[in-house]
Amino acid sequence: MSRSLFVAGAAGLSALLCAAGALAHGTAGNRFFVASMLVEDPFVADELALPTISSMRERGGGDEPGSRETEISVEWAKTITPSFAISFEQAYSIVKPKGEKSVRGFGNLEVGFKYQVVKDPAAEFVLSFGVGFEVGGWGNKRVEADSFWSAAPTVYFGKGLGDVGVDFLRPLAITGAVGVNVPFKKRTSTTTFNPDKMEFETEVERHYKTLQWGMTLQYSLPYLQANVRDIGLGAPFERLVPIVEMAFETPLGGPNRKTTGTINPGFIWTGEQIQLGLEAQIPINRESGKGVGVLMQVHFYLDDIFPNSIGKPIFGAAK
Amino acid sequence: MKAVIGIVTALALSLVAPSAWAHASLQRAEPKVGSEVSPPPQKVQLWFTEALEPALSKIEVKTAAGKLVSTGQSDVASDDRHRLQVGVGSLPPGLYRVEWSVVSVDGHKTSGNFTFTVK
Repeated sequence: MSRSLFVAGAAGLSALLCAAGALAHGTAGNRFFVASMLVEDPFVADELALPTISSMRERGGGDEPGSRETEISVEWAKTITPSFAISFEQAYSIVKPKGEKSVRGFGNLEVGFKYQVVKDPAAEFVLSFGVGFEVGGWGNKRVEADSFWSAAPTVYFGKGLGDVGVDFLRPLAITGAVGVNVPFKKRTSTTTFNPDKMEFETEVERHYKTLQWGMTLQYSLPYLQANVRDIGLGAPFERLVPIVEMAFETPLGGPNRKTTGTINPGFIWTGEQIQLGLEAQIPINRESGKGVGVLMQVHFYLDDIFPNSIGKPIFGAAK
Repeated sequence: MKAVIGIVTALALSLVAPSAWAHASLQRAEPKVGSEVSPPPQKVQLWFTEALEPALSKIEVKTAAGKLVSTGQSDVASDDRHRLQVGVGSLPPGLYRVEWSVVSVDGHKTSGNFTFTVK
């Protein structure tokens, strides 16, 4: 496998792992939606994910060995008004090719804006729009941080099934996000000197828009206990939310339009001020990774920890 | 990495101590959520994870047809600010819906509802 292919693979994997920047817990009526770890959810909130850690292997090819990429990230979300928030995410990546030295460095800063448009408590429904920017040139090129900016306008939704007539389905909720990542640069040219041929060679890498889409299925045992039937669950199960997250990316241009992504089954334990998450990362195909990765997160509800200072909106009444 | 671990540890330790700053969620109820009871209860009691603001917290109990059967004002127990209760009249057999709305002492509002059945 050529270095450029390795780089492309690492970049793709990195993009998948970067998608782990999902914050925002929230309530709609009786429903408390946890902050999913991989798929951005529809709420705006004051939160801190510190840290999110993911680790996944990438398949090798040709002469190139496979590698393991570990990413440690932090994300902070701040409400400006009760319906509008800004978030910042920074990741640190460690790429370890098998049998070679690891490469490590910071990725690009990601800045997100989200506006909650609809919140229907009776229907346990919420709809939001947002846009996320990747600050090109911020991160380290060794871990394939892009030198150019990109933006991803996205629609987010969440729906609890508390209003369906079947009791065992009522604790279930679905959230989803669909967006298009638009790179601000169409191509990158890299010129290197080939000493064998004694000439300069130029390699052109094209950047295409990608469709980023995903959803979560979350079965809330707290909802079951408090709203459907008290089945006598004790700690820690009465606060556990089994969850399956699915996050995918489909190129909208170029010769290879194959969808990549992972399906992540796991659990989120939600306390009054903190939540802990652990998920397996199962790649959907060879291009998405090798084996089963892991994703974990410690997540702080700043609105509950600091309700009268940094945990409340700058303008407008707290939720 | 050490800095990250340090910050996480500090934040986590700060959460170990009991704190009143959080959303109040329903911990348990009497009658139990979704239960069938006999004889009928004299009152409905709810226990929450956080202390409540008495003036802003209430319970309503209704029949399946929506008729209000809870009597008087809901009140937060003087010896336990996590407990909210309301009296109910003599309840004939049937399905009842409990609707609650509370505000925790930090100002966060939460609400919910559930049913129980009198046999």
